[in-house]
Amino acid sequence: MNHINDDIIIDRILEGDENQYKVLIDKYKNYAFTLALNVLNNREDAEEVAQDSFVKAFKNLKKFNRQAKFSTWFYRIVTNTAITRGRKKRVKGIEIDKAFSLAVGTKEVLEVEDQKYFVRKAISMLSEQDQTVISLFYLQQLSQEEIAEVTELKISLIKVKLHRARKRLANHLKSLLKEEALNL
Amino acid sequence: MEKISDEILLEYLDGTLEARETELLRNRLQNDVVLKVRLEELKQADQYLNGVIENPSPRFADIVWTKISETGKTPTFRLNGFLIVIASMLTVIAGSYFMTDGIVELNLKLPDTVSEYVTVPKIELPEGINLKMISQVLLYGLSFLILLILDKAILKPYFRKRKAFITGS
Repeated sequence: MNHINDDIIIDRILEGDENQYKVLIDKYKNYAFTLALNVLNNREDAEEVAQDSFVKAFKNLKKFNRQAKFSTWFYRIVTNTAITRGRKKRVKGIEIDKAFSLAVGTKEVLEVEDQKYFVRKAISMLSEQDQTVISLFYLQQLSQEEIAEVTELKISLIKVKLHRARKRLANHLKSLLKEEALNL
Repeated sequence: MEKISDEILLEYLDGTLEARETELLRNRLQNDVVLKVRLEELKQADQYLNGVIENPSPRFADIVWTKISETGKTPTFRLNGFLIVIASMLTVIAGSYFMTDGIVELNLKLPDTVSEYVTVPKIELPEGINLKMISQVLLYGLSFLILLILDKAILKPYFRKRKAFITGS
């Protein structure tokens, strides 16, 4: 259903109603930002990458063939842009801004922010490719076929990578949470 | 007892494990505490990750729109680059023209103090070699090369950008 909606919106944009692109921005901005953040681990860079990806997608909308879903095509743009940016900046240290988790808020908000913090930290411990694969898997529950399409890797390889990354992630999370519990 | 791999546990969590294997796993989970802990750890990681969607800044959409509008502006003509190429072209043509006569005569004159010690050999070109024509061919070749650079480096990118702007692609 969403696929069809996206196609209708894209048709309208290509017919000249460019304002319709705002609908796509609103729909995918959180996913694009999260995906970029998972790869880059830096909010400012992730925001810029997500914005640039929207600009690139808009400029190349005519070239988008409808064989794949818009989201798949768009996530590929986000992934490639984020990876390129990451390689350029060589941001590899775990510089996670924990300030947001210390923001004044309700207990529930803090718990959610803490959860995000640990997830981010655990993801940053994975390899660049595993970060992408895992983000796509959890982001919008993309199928393995779709992940293969976005990353341009074979499905068999995606399956192996996904299993391995999920195992590693679970282990990282386990030790991070254990560490946190000891510090309390 | 056969060891259950993490891959099987993950497939169980995803609901992609075959019915028979699912049944077997459920039976094992009832009696195997270690296996249950392993499954819980993977489940917890899944739950953590499924709930994490980050929000960009509130002005995100506006910034994207501004960027789109900015990149859609009419490309400006790179006047500086154009002037540099024209100036280089004129310099090379003028330089080549004035050098041509000297090359054709091949008459090297040294100061008297030097010529006492150094004898300049008289260079005689074999008949049939038209040095003036060669230098003129080189001159025109060079001019052609410069025009080619002008076309590739300035004109083509400019018109490509302009076309992209008009078609909106």
